[in-house]
Amino acid sequence: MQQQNWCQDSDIVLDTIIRYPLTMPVADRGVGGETAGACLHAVDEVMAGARSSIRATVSTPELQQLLEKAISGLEQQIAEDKALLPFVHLPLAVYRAVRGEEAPAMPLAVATTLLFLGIDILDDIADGDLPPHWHGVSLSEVQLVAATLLSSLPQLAVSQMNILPVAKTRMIACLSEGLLKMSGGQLHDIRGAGKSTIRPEEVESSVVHKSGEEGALIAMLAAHMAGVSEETAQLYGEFGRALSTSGQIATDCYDLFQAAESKDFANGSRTLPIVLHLNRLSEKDRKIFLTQLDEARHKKSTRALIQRELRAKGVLRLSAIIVEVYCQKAREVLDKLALATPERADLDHMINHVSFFSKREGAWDR
Amino acid sequence: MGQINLKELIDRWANDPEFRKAMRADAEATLRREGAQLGPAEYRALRRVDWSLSDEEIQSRMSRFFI
Repeated sequence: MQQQNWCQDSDIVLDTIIRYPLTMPVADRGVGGETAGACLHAVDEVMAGARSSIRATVSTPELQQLLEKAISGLEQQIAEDKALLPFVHLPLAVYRAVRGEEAPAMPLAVATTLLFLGIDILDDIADGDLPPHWHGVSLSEVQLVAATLLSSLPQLAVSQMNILPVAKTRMIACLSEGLLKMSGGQLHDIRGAGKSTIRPEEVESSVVHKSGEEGALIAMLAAHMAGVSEETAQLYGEFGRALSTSGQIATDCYDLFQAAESKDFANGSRTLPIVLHLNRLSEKDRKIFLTQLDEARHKKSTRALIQRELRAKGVLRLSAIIVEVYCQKAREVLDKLALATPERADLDHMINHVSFFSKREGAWDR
Repeated sequence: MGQINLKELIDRWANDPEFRKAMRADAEATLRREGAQLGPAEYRALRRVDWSLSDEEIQSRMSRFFI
């Protein structure tokens, strides 16, 4: 079955996109022509869908322009960095696991992309780290863009979906609850920034309550859209939480040890590997390390020194193992869901993409 | 018999060549012998760890999940 390129028609508006009946029994899901990796190629369609939805629903031209600028900024980031995109691929993979195809979930992937973009902008504002495409735009306007992306567009998208009212109600409730939980996580993050005495458990908890809850929200939205029971949706939420928590720690490790330009070094962020090390130092060595961290904000040679020290003290390996623990938790939720192998293939691929020890089992290739 | 948690495990790995050798030979037996205090998910995760990988090899496998 060919994927319908609905996003290429500029006349398509959001409320005409969904015309897929949710009556296809699970047992009859088609496998002919669709591969487990079909959602790997969804990114371009989702970005086009995001632009279409903005044009169709935002009546203020100036606001439309700012929102489209946000989309362009995200497209630039995606073009530079070929990472797996959880805000696109996770909802599609979860929906596919339940319903056997991902095409009906494309509008949800659009909604979760807009949601992610709002969260990302607020993160950048909190870090004092807005990307260059916002130059010339006042901070108030950027905040307004983030607020719009979080509080109206995804909710409007869900309300316009052609799905059962009970699914719609659950999705709207899920959105609100998820955003509240993430606000709590973000508050921990903001209060932890720059602190020298934060404990590893606090950082890990902050990741679970922020990135983890984002993954839980996305997975649960897809599960509710697919029509599962509340209990099953909660399990998908657990999966999303474990996957995104492992993904965030993995991303923090990548930023620290591999990235050509480390945002976390530049911002002085106290990510888990840094805090794991800080926590094991004597008072005297802690002061030296904190000075080095300050210096590393601007000096690459100090970053290299810190990387060597973290490797020598086993922090890289410990962080990799903590990632693996959360990957294992995600696998165990999939076992609880009792999905057959083809149904869980994309979800397993996502775990293997994050895991530093499972790369050989399947890489995520866009 | 000592009891170690995940962080202590890594401290031993970083500082004790004999421990590293034992973990590479048979991680699970070594952990049980050391009386490791690990939760079920931690134990199952550690079974998936390839202890033969060097830190540089682990580092080379790092990739982003979030952009």
